[in-house]
Amino acid sequence: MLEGEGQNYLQGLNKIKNAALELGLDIEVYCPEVFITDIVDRAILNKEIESGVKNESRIHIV
Amino acid sequence: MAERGIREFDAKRILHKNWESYFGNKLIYDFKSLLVTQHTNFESMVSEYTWLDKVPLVVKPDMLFGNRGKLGLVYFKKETPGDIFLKDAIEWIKQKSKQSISIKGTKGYLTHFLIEPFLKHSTKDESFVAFSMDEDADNIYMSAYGGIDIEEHWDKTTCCKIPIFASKEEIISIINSNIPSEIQNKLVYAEFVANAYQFFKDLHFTYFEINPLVIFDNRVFVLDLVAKVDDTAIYLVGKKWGDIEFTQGFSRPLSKEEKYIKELDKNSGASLKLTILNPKGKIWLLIAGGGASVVYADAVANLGYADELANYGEYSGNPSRSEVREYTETILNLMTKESINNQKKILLIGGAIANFTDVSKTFDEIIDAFVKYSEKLKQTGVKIYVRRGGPKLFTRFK
Repeated sequence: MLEGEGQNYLQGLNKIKNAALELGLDIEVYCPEVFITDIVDRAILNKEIESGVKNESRIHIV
Repeated sequence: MAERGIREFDAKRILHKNWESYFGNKLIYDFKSLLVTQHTNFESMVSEYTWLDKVPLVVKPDMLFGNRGKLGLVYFKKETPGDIFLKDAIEWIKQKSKQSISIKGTKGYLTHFLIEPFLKHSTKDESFVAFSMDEDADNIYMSAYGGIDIEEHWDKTTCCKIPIFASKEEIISIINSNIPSEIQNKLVYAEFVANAYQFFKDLHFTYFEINPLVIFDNRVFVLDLVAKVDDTAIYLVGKKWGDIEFTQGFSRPLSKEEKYIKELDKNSGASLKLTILNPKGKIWLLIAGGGASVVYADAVANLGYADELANYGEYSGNPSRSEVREYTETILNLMTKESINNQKKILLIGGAIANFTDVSKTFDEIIDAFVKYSEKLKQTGVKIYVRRGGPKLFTRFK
């Protein structure tokens, strides 16, 4: 049994991460397991991300 | 349902178009309203509407905002009421179109005007009628004291509720028993209100207000009319509405970038939206999907940073590569125009779980835009946060 994630999102997230790093841009990339509201908290208030930590292998923090 | 304000001109045109079906021929509505702009060719208009250069006129903007009388935007006199003729009207329109004005904090330009014959009457001739909708009933408001001071006389306005499934007889009896005592010709007024209410209901208006309403003998003069319709009813009553224009009304002029994205959106099967809220803001959004864009904007506002939110917008519906790139470049260009002292700007790139949009494909284009703007992004000091998912299709293969 296979659960499809479809529409190449992981591939896309990796690509954008690597490209930004190569260009020397300041970037953090997250999987959809992280709540949107947590990312806004992180961006504005510099809070630690709490959601989605259970599945650590899937979160890309750069 | 979307409740949409319509121009006074359109509301009057619809009233006139359906007049006989609702009001019969006992009462007469002599519809003489013209919608014009500063570029209207008045000469050719005069040959079609011969009254235009013969009677005194009233001119006012027709752009979905109220309180025009109090804002000094109803032009009906130089020295005495009724001394405005076509030449004066044209001059006023040209002059008003040139100056930027501010209404409720929004700056913009007047573009559309309504021209009508001036009606000599006194304030005691002015009555008021309005219809609105609640979940459980419709409201009818009636008053013998119409005009621009209606709110000061609100205690003299009667309000009655019409249950949604009320019969014609019930409606008439509710109206009759609530007619304000000061109304001069109660019979004519009551019949007009009952017919107008039926018109309001049948034609899917959601709000309808005549203020002032003047009835001389059997002639009805609708001096001012505010109306909103349920725009989704267009398939039901579109023919009765005729050629209706849904406009934004008075609004700030779109910026070059907003116009550009609007044009992209118009020519695309996908959706591309952009509104600039604060060009000097710190927080910029590049979000896929209407829902996610609202969540991001809400989350920012919830932290008390609404003032720092530079833009609102979204792209969705699997936009083409070039559309995503144009959209991204527009935002990167706007946000790298200037930097903020000792502070990084924030670019939130994201979305929920894509339904139709190929995340990898759209990200390729965002990356290309990064390449083009990388120096500017570094100079301005931009921190980028990305979050995005593809659809969890739960596709099962055995």
